Amino acid sequence: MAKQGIIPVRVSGADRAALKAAAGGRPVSTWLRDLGLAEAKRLASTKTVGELLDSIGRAGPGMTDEEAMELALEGQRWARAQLRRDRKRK
Amino acid sequence: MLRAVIDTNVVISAVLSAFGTPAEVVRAAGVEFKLVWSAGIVAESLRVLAYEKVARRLGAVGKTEEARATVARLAAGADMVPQEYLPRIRVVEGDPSDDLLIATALAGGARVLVTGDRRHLLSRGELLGVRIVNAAAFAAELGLPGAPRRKGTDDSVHEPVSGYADEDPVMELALEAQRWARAKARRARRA
Repeated sequence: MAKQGIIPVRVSGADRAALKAAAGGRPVSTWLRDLGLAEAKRLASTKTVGELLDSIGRAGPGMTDEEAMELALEGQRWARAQLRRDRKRK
Repeated sequence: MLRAVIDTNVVISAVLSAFGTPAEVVRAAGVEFKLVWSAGIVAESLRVLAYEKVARRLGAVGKTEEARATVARLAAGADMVPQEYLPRIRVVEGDPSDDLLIATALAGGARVLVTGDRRHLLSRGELLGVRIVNAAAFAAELGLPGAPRRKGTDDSVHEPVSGYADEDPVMELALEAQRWARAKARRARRA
């Protein structure tokens, strides 16, 4: 039986507190919805990676590999810097 | 089947250039090679999709959810290395965050890391027995037909950050996802 996505929308009691803390005082369901993870889970359970990429490609962010990698690396630096800031705040 | 770790930047690049060479590699995950990942890589990929410039690009064509779903789908089909099995190593000079990629490869039995990070990773060629290649080289190695050949690497520099994403909320979510998937697999085995 294939796994159907990995993003949880049901959580155990033990994890609820951690998710509430991560949501920063907002309802966990709202936080998950804002992250788009519930929708991502639904899509991931019904489409393959190839189908998803085809769908994105047809809509066309329209970048070359070189431009895409440049932006991806920029985003990766941003994500790591943001993570570092978040950890300092705690 | 060959086991390989794919860096976040290759996944994001694949989403932004869905018919390009990194996308060819991503499409081949689970078919031509076994993807080895860990929760930290999933979390970072989701975070990068929230980066303003990336989100704007995808949002403009209404494909934000598909991009997130691509990451989720990859993770669902990957061999996810449990967090507790990741060795604490410090081998990537200049960017300790990249240590997670090498640790994931070592713990997951992958001998290849596919990345677009030329400065910190590709320039090393190999670390602790893990071969480091770009998407084009890996696609050629797998014999993938490939997209119109465009260069898939760059000269970007990573900011150094320290340690793993242990206290990152998205990381916590990714770890929860990992637990959920395992519990589901256990239930399926029992049934």
